[in-house]
Amino acid sequence: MELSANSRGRRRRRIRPWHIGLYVWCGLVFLFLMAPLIVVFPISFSSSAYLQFPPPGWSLRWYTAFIDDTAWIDATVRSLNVAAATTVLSTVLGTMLAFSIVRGKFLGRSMINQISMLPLIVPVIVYSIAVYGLFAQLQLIGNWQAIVLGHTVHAIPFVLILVGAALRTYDVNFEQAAMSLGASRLTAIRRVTLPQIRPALVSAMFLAFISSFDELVVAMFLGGSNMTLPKKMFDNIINAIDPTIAAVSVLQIVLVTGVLIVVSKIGAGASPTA
Amino acid sequence: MNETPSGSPIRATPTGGGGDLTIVGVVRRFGPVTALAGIDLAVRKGEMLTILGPSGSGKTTLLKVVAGFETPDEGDVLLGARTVTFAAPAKRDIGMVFQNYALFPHMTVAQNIAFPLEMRKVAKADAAKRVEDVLRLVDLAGLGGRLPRQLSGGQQQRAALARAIVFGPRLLLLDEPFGALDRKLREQMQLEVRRLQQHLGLTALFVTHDQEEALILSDRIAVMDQGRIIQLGTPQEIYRRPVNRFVAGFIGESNLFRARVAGQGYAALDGGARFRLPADAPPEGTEIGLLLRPERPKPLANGAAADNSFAGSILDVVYLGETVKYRIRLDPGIEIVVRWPFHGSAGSLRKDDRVTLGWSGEDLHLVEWS
Repeated sequence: MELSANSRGRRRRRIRPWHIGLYVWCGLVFLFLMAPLIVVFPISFSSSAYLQFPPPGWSLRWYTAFIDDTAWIDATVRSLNVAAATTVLSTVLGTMLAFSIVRGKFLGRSMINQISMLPLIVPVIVYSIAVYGLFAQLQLIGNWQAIVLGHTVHAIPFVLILVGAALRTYDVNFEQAAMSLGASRLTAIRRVTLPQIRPALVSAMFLAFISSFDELVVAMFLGGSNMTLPKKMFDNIINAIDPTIAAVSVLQIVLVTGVLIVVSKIGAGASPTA
Repeated sequence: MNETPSGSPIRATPTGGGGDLTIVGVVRRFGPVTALAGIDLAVRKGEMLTILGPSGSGKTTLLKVVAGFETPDEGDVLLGARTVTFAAPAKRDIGMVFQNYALFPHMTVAQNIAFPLEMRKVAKADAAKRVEDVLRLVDLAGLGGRLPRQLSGGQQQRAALARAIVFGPRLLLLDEPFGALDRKLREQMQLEVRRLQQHLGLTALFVTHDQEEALILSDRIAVMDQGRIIQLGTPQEIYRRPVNRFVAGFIGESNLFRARVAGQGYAALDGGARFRLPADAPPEGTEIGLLLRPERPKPLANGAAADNSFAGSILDVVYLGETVKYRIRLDPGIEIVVRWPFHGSAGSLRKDDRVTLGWSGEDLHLVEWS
């Protein structure tokens, strides 16, 4: 007891006025960012049929409503599938693109880099209409795979930025060492380079996943009757507002937080693989 | 090809004739820059040959050509009798120690060392045993389970060396591997690498810009400048008989004077002083460089004579531990650097003291000036 009191005493610092100001400011920002969550969580457990805050009573009926409605479940599963496929596709393609842009020595390299970044710059609605026109001709509208393709183009810039940055600071000597020890270039990349840029890869995958899982506009244009979760939520809000939407939001938040925790666990630095 | 130059400590390993590594007429250009301007070099079996040169001399490019990371524009690289000019690095059977070691940070030391064995599909149990053996050889027994970052600089170096030799490579390449170590550790590692290389009879090509390191480690040294090999010889030959001004200036400390052969065994220096030349001086009128190593001139006692003797005053004194370095202005207006043992007659000399220096004609070595 004495010891802890001592150490606490030693740690005490003089608090200056601007310190207090800073704490208050940070607190306000935090509150502002968190306010939606503070409202959404209680509403999702509401017993009322309306979006009412504070809720008049508590129940799980909106979660039950979500689980019992196959339309919701279908949309959720479809969204997860689309996001997973987008993650895999954009990570593979984006990583290959990053390798060719960072390591390659061909003409038009920087132009390809610029073009790959365009999806971030072009307004989503413009992009969606363009892709809609193209996919309509190819008769792809209404397939969930079409949404995957649309989302992949959108997710590639994230992968390219993150993996490209990691590759730029990566010491090629490691790869050369692996090759001099008997590895082919591909084996060297798989066994030595990729494990070392894993934090960037994992972050890239996370961003790709989120960018697809949350995406509404592209999915709206390309999905047809195959609704993704954001599209279903959008329709739900337009037609009849009930707290199911809050329950779905909470589940979404929980899922993304879970993914984020996993990401920060496996994405943290290099560690022994075997 | 098998004759051994005098004074060369080459191990008597039987060779099949010719070099173990042979480089024939290798040229490499990068746009308008010629990095390698025709390199011919043969490294004998069991020999440690050092490529010594300043940065930009092309030594790293040459190493990359040998390792397979660069392809020459002209010429060939042979390992034994096999031409490997265009072979992939993985197919060359060369062990390489990189400047920064390039130990894979996500693998343990043992996994790092097992990597080349794994690539060669060596059975797990056999590989584990060989890793153990080589760890013991480089004095890292028991540390196989650690990650590279948990090792000290010297231990990382040993691990990198172990990884490069565990698969019994045809050739060992060392790319300035001691640069990151502090002085004391560096000397220790140099001797250890040398011992190991000789013990295993490894053929090794070592690249460095550090002339001291080259003198310590090598059987032979190839001095490179501007993409060419300027001189190839044993450390003694290179130090005692550099072929030109560049080599003389690059290896060891030196006093270099520009002079013209003046007849009767004398040379006239630019400032007007005359030096007595060694017996094999070139014909009168030839422009030459005179190399005088700092340990050659000796302080002369009163009345003593020498081929060349000059009085002068001491400009600076630098204590280097066992030796002392003096910068002296000789009366004809020439500045020279000399280095003497601290416990000699010179130990008590101070700045501004007067001293008379003497050296024989044979102490001078003649080099091309151009």
